[in-house]
Amino acid sequence: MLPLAHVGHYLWVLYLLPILFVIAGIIKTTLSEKRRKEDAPPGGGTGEGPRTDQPDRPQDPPP
Amino acid sequence: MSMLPFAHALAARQDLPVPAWLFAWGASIVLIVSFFALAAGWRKPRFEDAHWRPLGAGLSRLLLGRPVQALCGAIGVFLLGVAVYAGLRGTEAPDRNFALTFLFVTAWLGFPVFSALLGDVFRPFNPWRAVGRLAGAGFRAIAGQRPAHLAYPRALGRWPAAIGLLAVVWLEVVYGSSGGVAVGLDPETAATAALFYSAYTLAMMALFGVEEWCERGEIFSVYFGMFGQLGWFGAEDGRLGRRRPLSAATRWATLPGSAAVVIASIATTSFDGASEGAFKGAIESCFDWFVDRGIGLTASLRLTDTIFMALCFAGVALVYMLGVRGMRTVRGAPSLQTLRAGFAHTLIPIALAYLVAHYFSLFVFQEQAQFTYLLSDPLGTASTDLFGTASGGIDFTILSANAIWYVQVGALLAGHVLALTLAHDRALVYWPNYRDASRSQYWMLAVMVAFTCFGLYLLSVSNG
Repeated sequence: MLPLAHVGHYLWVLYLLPILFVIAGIIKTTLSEKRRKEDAPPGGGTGEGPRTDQPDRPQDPPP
Repeated sequence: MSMLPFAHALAARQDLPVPAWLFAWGASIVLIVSFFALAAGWRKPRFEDAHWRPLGAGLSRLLLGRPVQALCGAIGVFLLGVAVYAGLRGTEAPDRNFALTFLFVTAWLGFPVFSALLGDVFRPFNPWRAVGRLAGAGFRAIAGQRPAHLAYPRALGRWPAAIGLLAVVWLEVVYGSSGGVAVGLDPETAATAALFYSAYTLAMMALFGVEEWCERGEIFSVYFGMFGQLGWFGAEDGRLGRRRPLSAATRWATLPGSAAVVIASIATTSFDGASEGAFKGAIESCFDWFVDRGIGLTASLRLTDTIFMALCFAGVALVYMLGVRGMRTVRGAPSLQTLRAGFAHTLIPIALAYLVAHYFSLFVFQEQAQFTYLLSDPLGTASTDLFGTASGGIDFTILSANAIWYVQVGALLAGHVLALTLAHDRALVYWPNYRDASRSQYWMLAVMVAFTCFGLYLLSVSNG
């Protein structure tokens, strides 16, 4: 038996779903990027297209 | 005359065309679309340079000059004095006493909103800064030299202000609401706390210097000044100028403890909203648990509320740290510490949004009282009618429940889109390759969606 009389108590799930969708999307994108990098031939780049030739080293925080 | 229940959340049911949870879905979609729009079209940092342009020299001289500053300071001292006097000598009824509405509604909620628009407007009106500066000038005149101060411990940063912010809200929301009455802090306690705080602040100013303490430890300067970083106007090198809105915020969080200040702001607002709605059941269970173990009713309530407030702080900090840790996984990321401090300012619009969303209706209703009967009869004893408005009241029909809801949703949405924009802008500083910068913001998008949905859930429960 579903506790339908108390269904209002579970409304928070509907507020949680968008967060879960976004997190699922992030995980899926991250995994597919990782897989693409692994599948790429050695020295063949990342498969992301040309990168602007910028340093990867992080900058110091702005003053 | 209408009596105002001094509750924070509005307890009115809306008549919405769609279920409230659909607003959370809609807001999430807006945030996701904003994220992709930023990723596609915003490829260079635009907020790092404030584009500060001086206003007319005459206007600057007038507004920042000694006479106007002294006048503003005197107004601040006078109003604090009225609030303290009303608290000590006025009626015990919180809704009839000038002190509570002035301190916890007009000042506490009004300054953030006006600061976010105009810049740091609290600074000239800060009563403790005015007294401190006056004392310093007096010392110089008598001793013929500047007062010597201790070096402020750098590691402390803004932590005194962060802890103080929690303490102020704790006093109002936890201590005030558990004293046996359901209408908030009693005015005498508020006035006594204001006196203690004044003594503490002036002592700290004497130790570390007025401006140093205002920048780091004075709760209200730090808290209102934080929102002032979003505003259009600011002073640089003694001159008033116009700047790009939001841009000053990019340099705000460089001091230790700044992230804690903004997290405390979001957490305390969340707790205040949730304690009357979403957390009510859990709070009651925890309260019963303490009572069953023989702890007194008032102590149990205060203990429970304190625990839940601390949990809110930990929860908000955890969500933010998850976003920061997510960014750390992107190649070329700076250190965790750099990221944690570097993105703290992006939470300021969220703190403002939470404040507007949770207190908008209270502010609109209670300001009617402030500028009618509380102004004419500050003590609430029906003994004065200074401006002939003592018989005024609050018109609760000025806002419909639906109008309040739409303002709440709009504020939350706007705040989170601005936060997302600030975060994207900062990411472009740390990751010069805009693709990496956008990738780093996946997790901040999750943080923004989480805060939006959580905020809307709190509002829907407390409004429903």
